[in-house]
Amino acid sequence: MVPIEIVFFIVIAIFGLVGLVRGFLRELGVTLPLIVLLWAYSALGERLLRLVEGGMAKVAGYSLPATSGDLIRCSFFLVTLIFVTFIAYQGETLAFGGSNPPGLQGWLLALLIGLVNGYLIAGTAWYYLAHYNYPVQNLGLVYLPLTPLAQTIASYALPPDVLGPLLPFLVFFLIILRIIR
Amino acid sequence: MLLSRSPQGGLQVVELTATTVILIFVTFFAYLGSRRDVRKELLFFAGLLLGTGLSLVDCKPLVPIANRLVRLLTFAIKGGAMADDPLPIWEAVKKRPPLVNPADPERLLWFNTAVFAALAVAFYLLGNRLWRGDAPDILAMAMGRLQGKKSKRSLNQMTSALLTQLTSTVVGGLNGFLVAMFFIPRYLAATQTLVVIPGTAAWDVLTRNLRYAIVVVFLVFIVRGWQQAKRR
Repeated sequence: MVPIEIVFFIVIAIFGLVGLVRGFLRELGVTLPLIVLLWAYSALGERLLRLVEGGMAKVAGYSLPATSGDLIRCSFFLVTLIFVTFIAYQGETLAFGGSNPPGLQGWLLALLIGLVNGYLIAGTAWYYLAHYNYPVQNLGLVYLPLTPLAQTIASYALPPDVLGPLLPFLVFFLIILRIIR
Repeated sequence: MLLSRSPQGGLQVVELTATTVILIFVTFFAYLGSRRDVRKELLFFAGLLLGTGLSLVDCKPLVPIANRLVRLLTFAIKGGAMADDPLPIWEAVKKRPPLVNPADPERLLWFNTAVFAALAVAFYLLGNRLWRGDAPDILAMAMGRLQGKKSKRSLNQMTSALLTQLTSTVVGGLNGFLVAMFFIPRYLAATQTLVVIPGTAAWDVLTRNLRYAIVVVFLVFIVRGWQQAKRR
């Protein structure tokens, strides 16, 4: 079984390669919706879930079972993350216009932004898995306990922890860049 | 910041908070950055980053190399390379204590500082050598615009120059942060120096702000790429 941190680094590396192929401006067009999604998660995610759960309990008298509740809540975040990632990579609307920076500099910038996007995607998925105490371990996808390195990453280095208070500014900054382009 | 009189005598004790000292470093280097080309500052940043990375492991990978080099140099200076029988000279050189003993924290700190400073100076000078130009003078451009024609091109140039200068100021600030990260916990956090900063507080402030520094680095690269893309 491959440790979770290795999978994390492999996913980041793959997205780095994807960034290299797609170019800096297209990748920047992916960063924007991912940052907006992270902001939406931090501002609304849990509240929205509680609202839906409360509504379901009131209207249909149904509440999530204790055993699979966390798996469903975690799936909500993972599915929306995959959905937004798919839209961001598939669509052209959000891509920044113009031509990519020339030469080696352009390649390096594309790789860097690709790696950042990979970190945002893989890191956010890992954060919500950890937040709900790895509900996928019942499916045999994650085995606990984590290695010390994985514990350190999960505690300090995942996007919602690192970017938490900065998210509104990042959204504002990227939107401004997108507008004045 | 606190100024107080020492109970032992008339000596003024200057006590600075960690944040103040870090801000002094950041402001000073941001000012330097605003006066230099952004490419030079980015190269300087790369050198400081390398120095910081090495200092995290106390430059231990470089210690054996430095010791061997010094031993070789001593051997050559003592005439070992030209001697008919170099073996006695080599034996004498081998008996001398190494330049850096990894078990001696004071020597290790000295070596660490030397490597960090050497990298910083080398990358700073390399930047100066590679790119001769300085940062655009925004004030002069603004004055020229006020006096001369108000064409759209000059406005675009001014906006671009302003963005470039802002970027180099931010990169300069980051350089100051890296220098503070190196020097404050190692030198200014001591208990018997004139300028006293609680060591743990300094480290806490630095690590707390590290994530902001990392995010700012990425933003600088984004702006740089965005600017380069726009120019074509």
